[in-house]
Amino acid sequence: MRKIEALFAVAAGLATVSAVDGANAQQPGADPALLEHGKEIYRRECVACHGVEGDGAGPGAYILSQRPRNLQLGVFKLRSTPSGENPTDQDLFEAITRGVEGAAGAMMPSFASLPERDRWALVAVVKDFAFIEDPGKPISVPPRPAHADLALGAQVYDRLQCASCHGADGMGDGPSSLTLKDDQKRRIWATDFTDGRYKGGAAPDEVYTRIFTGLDGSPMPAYGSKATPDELWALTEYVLSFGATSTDKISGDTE
Amino acid sequence: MTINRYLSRRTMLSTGAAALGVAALPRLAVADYTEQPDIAGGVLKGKVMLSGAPPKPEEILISKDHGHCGEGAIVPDPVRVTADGYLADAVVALKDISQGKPWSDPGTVPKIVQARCKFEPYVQVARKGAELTILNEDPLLHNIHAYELIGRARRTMFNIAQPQAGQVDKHVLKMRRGDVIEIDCDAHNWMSAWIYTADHPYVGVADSKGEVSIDRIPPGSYELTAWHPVFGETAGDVAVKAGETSEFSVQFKV
Ligand code: HEC
Ligand code: HEC
Repeated sequence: MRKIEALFAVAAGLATVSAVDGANAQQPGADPALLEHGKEIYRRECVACHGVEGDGAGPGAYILSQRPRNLQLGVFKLRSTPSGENPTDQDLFEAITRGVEGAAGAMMPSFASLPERDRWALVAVVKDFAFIEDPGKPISVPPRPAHADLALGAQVYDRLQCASCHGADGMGDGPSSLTLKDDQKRRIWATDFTDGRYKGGAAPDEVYTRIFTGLDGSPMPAYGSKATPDELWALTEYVLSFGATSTDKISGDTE
Repeated sequence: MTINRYLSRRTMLSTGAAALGVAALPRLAVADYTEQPDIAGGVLKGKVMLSGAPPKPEEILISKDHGHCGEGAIVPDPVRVTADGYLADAVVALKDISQGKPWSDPGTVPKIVQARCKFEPYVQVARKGAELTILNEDPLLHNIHAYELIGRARRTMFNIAQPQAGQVDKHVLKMRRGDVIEIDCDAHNWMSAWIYTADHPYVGVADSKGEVSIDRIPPGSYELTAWHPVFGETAGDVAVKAGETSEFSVQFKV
């Protein structure tokens, strides 16, 4: 355990630096006691996959088909912020609470059973590993229209060429899907929308957000500036509609 | 400062998620650089060479969009070397200069174009923190995916879709600790480009004859590095005298 102590001593030093940066009271990184608390929970719950140093090389990492994130790189898929920006604290909190489970299977368990304070403490630890001093600004997601315009959605799906990776039927089998790699040069697959499970959750505004911001570290690019909000909503509904028949996970009660 | 000699792209990337050796260090602030508009200084003229047989090129088959991208196979990271061993596309940079000529040329406004399913240019230099302009000329989807290389790790800097011809995006090149940006298109896995970022304008890219020249350098002794997408980085020492042209040569060994 010596190694862990030494490492965390360094990390704590950094946290003090970022606190000087004038982080607002909401940000758990500003509270050294919370960070210390988070490190204890991290050692208990996260080390097996993410490793003592947060480098994603924990002893259990090898059994997972998609590897645990190297948190030190500061690259996050499930952001409400534009591509290349840091996630918000809320984004990290939600990822930890929800866990990561997508069409390709479960990658990370949900930690919803931990007390809320513990999860915020873990957010502080993740930010510390990732050198996040300036959380990004979230995009704005307009309210979901009452009517799902699936015809428009299909047009936008076509125009933005989602099918080149996700396939015309949304099954993740487009012509580019065979050659996709993630940032660590590991094989990755475009999501099969007929499965109905999403890493960032299947709630419509989550799916809208993923399309808008992309999933950094994966081949999924940001599309936010390439369509209007109405078009993006129609597209979101269209994507969700692929999964509606095969699972009950989507509550498509807009109509 | 230590330099990874002959660290090849393959070595850099194959280790994947393996740790960042220096992860516990705080992020470096962008070094300050003061422009001195009237500096005359000296000139460095150099030749970049490759000794030994160039590695067998790794080809990727053009698997889609043949109408625009063409047919056959492509080498994403070509080694362009002349019969007598002069190597193109290496970036030569002086280390640790905090003042000197203004940033005008090269790389004040870095720009990358996607045309006929290739990036243009293949290798360029840019000022750290400059805004990169990204243009798609092809009537099909490209996604520009930029990674910062840090030691043996690579981190996504941004990944933006450009599904239609004529679309322009801009992105500020904020570096954490690295100098090199690798650019891919996930939709066309044979597309590859590189941007070498620097704090000062004393950098240049070797031309098709392996020649590179850097002017208006404040007199003194410098460490000079040369980096190539396939062969990684090597380093040496050079001296610059006011009003004179000094020659150097850099050799990558295979
Ligand atoms: C069973 C292994 C496992 C455990 C335990 C685990 N994770 Fe993960 N975690 C993963 C994997 C795998 C990913 C990458 C998923 C992906 O890339 O889609 C990940 C990704 C993440 C991300 C990145 C989310 C994003 O937006 O990209 C964060 C943050 C994270 N984990 C935090 C934690 C924390 C904090 C804990 C402990 C409470 C924890 N993880 C425990 C496997 C695990
Ligand atoms: C260059 C290939 C590529 C293109 C083009 C592409 N995607 Fe993706 N997309 C991916 C990959 C790969 C993933 C899986 C990422 C992961 O699992 O980490 C993904 C994931 C997703 C997800 C799942 C997010 C989650 O929470 O699990 C959605 C939704 C999505 N894409 C929508 C779209 C839409 C809509 C378009 C067109 C506007 C599109 N994608 C275009 C490659 C692509």
